[in-house]
Amino acid sequence: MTLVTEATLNEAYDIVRASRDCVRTPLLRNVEKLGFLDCPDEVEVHLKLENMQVTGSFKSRGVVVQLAKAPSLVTSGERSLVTISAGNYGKAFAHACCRRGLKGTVIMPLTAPESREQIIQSKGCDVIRTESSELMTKVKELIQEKDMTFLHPFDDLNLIAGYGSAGLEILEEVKPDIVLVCCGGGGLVSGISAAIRYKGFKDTKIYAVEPETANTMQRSLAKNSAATLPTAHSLAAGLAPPFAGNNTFQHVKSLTDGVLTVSDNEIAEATRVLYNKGLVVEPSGAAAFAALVTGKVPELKGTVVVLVTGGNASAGELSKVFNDYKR
Amino acid sequence: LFAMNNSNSKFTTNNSHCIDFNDVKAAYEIIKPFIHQTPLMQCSAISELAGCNVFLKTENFQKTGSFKIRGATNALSHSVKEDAIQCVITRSSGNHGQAIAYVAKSMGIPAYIIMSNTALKCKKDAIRSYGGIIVEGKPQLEHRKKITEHLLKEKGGIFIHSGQNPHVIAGQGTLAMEMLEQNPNLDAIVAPVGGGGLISGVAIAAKALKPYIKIYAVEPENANGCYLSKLSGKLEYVVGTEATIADGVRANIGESTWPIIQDLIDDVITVSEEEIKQATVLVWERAKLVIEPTAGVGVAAVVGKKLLSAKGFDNSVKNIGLVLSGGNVDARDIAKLIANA
Repeated sequence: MTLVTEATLNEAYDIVRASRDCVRTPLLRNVEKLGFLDCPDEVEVHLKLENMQVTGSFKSRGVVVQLAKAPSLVTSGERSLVTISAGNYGKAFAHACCRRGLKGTVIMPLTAPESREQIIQSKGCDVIRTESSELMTKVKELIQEKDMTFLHPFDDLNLIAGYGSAGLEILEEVKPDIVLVCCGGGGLVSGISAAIRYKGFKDTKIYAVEPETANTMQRSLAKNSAATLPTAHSLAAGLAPPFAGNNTFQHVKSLTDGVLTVSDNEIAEATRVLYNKGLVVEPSGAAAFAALVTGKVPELKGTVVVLVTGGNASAGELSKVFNDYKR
Repeated sequence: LFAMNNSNSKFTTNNSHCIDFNDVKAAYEIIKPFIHQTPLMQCSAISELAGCNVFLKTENFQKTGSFKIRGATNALSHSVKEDAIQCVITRSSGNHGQAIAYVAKSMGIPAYIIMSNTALKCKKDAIRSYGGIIVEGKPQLEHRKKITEHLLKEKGGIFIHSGQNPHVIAGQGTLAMEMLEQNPNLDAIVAPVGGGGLISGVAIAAKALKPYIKIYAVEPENANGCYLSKLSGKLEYVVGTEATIADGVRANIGESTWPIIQDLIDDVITVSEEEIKQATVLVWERAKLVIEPTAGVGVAAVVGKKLLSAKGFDNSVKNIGLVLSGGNVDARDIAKLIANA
């Protein structure tokens, strides 16, 4: 079992900073003063707006590092790439491949929206759809039959190191007491917690936030190994892979203070609040904020940083969410 | 309050302006505790399209979802200081009405908001949620003016115009004070224009703080009274402004705002309906900010590079402050925009 090292984290930060495919996203400060939520007087809440990242989610940070460290057979174009994704990782993957003139294939679960498929195809990548439970089988097939190189969408140490750059950016601006991170496969919370711990913040409480109905990481912690949940599902489609990663589980176990869960209703309401306040956030991106506003955080105090992880929802998709989940 | 020639401007003016920079500074002292200091943000996609550094003043994050709370707070604060008022009456497409209703409620004063029956449902709902009482009239301004007269006779109280009231204009000007404090290197400020309250207040404050800063107003082609006025040199009114999707700027500029606009606005740029819609969708998709189509008016001029041919725009303009005036829009309406594109 390996955790990402401090050296890898710092190197990844250099790659992210130099990359044209990543930006330094805003830390929207003191949203309690902007009326985003009510909280006790001494509590300050800042939102790390990864919905404003290139391709609309934090995934670009990880992808650019994976590609920077990929073997020469890949970067030369001799071997094409394959990955699995419900959307945001696939979009960042396709964008980065397109910019580097590389060929890629994204395997998507049947539950992913068609709009995601179209976006990926428009960037020149192929899309194959399968059942959630068959995703890795298809990957193995393509590795064997077509010599493709697999880029893991969350359980890759280079990826995790890239995601850690978001944590390093946060620490350059504030000293957080609590950090809330949306958790699907666990890549982001792994990178962010590594960044925070390696910079010496051992008392900061770091919580991964999952949908109740897709709580693979919570189950992993309970049984002390990466768990599988074939029935994982949620309005927050990006937070519902059917298994936690081995590497990400180790990071969450060693470096975080555990998992908080939220219902789909709570996620929808958080999405609506953020929309009404002026931010385009997709349900998967609003989960961490949902945990905060529904009182899931034990001992709320001090400086709270919430990761807003993505904004890839069309106006049509958001109005459907608001309609389906009425107050 | 009624000041003679604004000697802080580099323009020689023949006009008397209804406010000066002192009024804006005084307004800021009054309203500061009651409004949000909204952030100045950047979006690389927008800056790339514009060809320079664009700084977005995010009034979509403002209390009541638009900058209107600034002017409404200042105007109502002045009114209650002068006299006890029975109620406040105003005409509004929505955002000013919301702001007035919100502030009036906080002061325990009833608010009557006269709206066209074509006003957006989401704005009507918001006004009601703030306790405002809506009185509906026809789109034709004359009809709603008559309703105003009737209401004033019946209820007493005061009327606060959304664009021509000097206290409102001074309040809106505080936005420019914030922008220049947040980024003193702004070379130009761009904002949509309807009645002109925002752009006038901004011009008074910005030119006082930085005399050579450029101020650009942007209007829909379908509601281009300000553009025509600048062209002819006299105050022009246009009809049929219902045609624009930018519901917040269907009003014409007026007696208070025209003298300031004539003297201090460097140029007025017009944009098509298509440009407005595309710009609004662009901000959603690339900046991930919720803005209403009226705010898209200003964005359209910047990303469509129309500013490049504006008067006074040259290589020295590197940093543009762009006002995102509001975000009061139903997601379904944005979805329709995209569907009908």
